[in-house]
Amino acid sequence: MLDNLNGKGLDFFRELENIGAGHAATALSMLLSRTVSIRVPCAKVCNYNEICDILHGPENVVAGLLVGISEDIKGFILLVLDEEDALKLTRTVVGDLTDNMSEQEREELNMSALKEIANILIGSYISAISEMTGLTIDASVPDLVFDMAGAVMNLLAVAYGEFGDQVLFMETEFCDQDESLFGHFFLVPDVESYKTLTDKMVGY
Amino acid sequence: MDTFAFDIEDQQPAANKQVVLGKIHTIGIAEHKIAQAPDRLSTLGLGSCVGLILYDAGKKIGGMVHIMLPNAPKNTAGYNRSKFADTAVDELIRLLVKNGAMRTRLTAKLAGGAHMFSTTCNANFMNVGERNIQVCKQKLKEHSIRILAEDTGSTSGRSIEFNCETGQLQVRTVSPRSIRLI
Repeated sequence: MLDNLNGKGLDFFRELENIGAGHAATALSMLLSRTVSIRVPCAKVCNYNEICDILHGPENVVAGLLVGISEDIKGFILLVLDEEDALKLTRTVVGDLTDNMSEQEREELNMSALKEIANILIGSYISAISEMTGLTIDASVPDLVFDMAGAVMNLLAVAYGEFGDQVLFMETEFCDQDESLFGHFFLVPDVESYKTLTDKMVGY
Repeated sequence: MDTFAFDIEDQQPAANKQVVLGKIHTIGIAEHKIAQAPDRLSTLGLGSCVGLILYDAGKKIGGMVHIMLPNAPKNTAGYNRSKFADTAVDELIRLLVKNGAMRTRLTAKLAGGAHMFSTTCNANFMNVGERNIQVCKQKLKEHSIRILAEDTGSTSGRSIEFNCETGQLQVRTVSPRSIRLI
């Protein structure tokens, strides 16, 4: 399925990622009142065993935020952060609000803050892509897990598993101006929506 | 979820007994490997995927496969047989027998098949873990292979390591942090 995705096709997906992640970075920078920049986005077709290398190996603990998308484009968006970076991010938002809280309350607030951040980021990401392509995209409520990178990224492999040994993913790294905070955005359309998107490419 | 967990302390070898640690063979997604004692077989970061081990305790030869999806697509030639539960079980048995294992002595252990995200959309691949386990068990039943232990389902990712010497499977999770032997 992905074999015929050539240079021009990948360029199109890279541009999608650029616009989506660009908007998400703007949203994040407003939320943090700080400059957030994005690295050059990439769109790649790679073997599923290579995916985890991007996230420092399959056993590295990451925060995975998943949002399912529906309507014209189906599939999901996955935002992956290192465990530490995820906690750093919640701290900048929650601040010292959690100082007098119990362990459980603190955790709950952190999780909820992280989900809200994902909601904002992914929301702006989706609306940018939707505007660019003229397609309607609807997003679900984010779901958060802290687990091994391998287990989280399993989802990507499963989404494409029936069709080949390769996956298409688009990825962007976020960095904060003074402390580096890396987040990886993965837009994973399902096979049908992948076609819908490439059809849009003709007019692009 | 059925687990047969022991206290890890009980499994430590006696101090005077010398332990020979073999090589660790790491298995990637949709791959398989066969190893013999004292070597170990390992696969990292199982989510909805299933790690299946078939073992011949007499010859101390074991095989592990990292299964990704329940059913192989119809009419597709040349696909990777280790990727799908329905074909991977047959393939692993064939390879083990080819490498000297006795078919009737094979026993199974399995781990994985977690339900990582609870998002209800994209239902077709969200419950893939559960279906992976189902098809694995069904195939094992067809081959009359007994399942000695399993650590399946739940919502946590797992890393596993099988010791071909002892026939024990170590299951590690990070949320919550735990190591157990089954």
